[in-house]
Amino acid sequence: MKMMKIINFQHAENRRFSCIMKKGQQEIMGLAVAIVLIIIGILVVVKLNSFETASYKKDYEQLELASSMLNTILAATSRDCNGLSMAQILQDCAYNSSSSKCNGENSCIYFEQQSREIFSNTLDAWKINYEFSVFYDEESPIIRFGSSCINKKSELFPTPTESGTLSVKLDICR
Amino acid sequence: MMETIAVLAVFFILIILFYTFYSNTAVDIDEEKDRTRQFEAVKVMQQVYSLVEVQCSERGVVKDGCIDLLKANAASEIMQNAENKEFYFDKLGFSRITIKQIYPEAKDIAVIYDNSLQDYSFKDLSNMPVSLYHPIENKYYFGAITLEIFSK
Repeated sequence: MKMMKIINFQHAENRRFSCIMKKGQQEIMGLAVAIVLIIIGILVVVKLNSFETASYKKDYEQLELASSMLNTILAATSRDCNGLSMAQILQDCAYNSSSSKCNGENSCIYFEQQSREIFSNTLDAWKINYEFSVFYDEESPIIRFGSSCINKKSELFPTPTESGTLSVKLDICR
Repeated sequence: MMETIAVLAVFFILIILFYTFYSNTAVDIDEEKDRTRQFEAVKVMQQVYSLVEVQCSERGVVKDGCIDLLKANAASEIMQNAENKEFYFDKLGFSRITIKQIYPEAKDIAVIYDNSLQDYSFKDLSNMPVSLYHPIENKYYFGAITLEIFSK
């Protein structure tokens, strides 16, 4: 009788031990799954970060592009406006916008036509988004074309005139 | 059964760790290559923009962002001469530099340097606006330098 009790007690102990072992194995499995998930998460973050590589060339190009575009446009001699430069035509536009000086057009319209032509053969052809504007007050520009953007590199070229400082601005979208 | 799953889990963890290390190293190498290529492109762009062979000058004073059309035609012959090839290769590498007029008329002006590769693995194209000065007519035209950089 005593022997039977001992055997029963041992069986019960064995069952309890195997139950604890099973629970332990399940916990380790759970831990392993959690670790695998964490590692996959880290991998995804590492992969996503690797796509955001810095573009030094693009930054340099955009910075140079805005300033060289404005300088080159303003220095250019007009096609058919008495050999005046685009900067001189713009100053005339600011001084007396109603007079006809350039090929039957007033200087403001002429400047806009010529600059639109230049932009369509350069930045439009090179598939670069931009916004070009000429203004005294940025809220009410004399000339504005292109598409506005939030992330941009800007270049401002102030021109002194009798009516105040006329600004020529070019935003290059990033 | 449980032991097998646990061993497999550890095995996969090891594979994932190895892959992470490998992919990080590969990304670093690619990034470094890309960075070097970009620095090289910027260096060549700066060299082209300040080439004394074609720059406008007035009484010895250099004008930035301006190309003298008469100098450009002469430089085209000099820079593509076989004798000078090594000198310009150090500065400009495997590239092609073309000058175009855009306004008032669109036309090609000159290819001032051409050391392009036929079997390149990467080609980088940049356009830079530049003033083209005609000293005889005393006029400035709107032009662009097209720079193509080739990598093996």
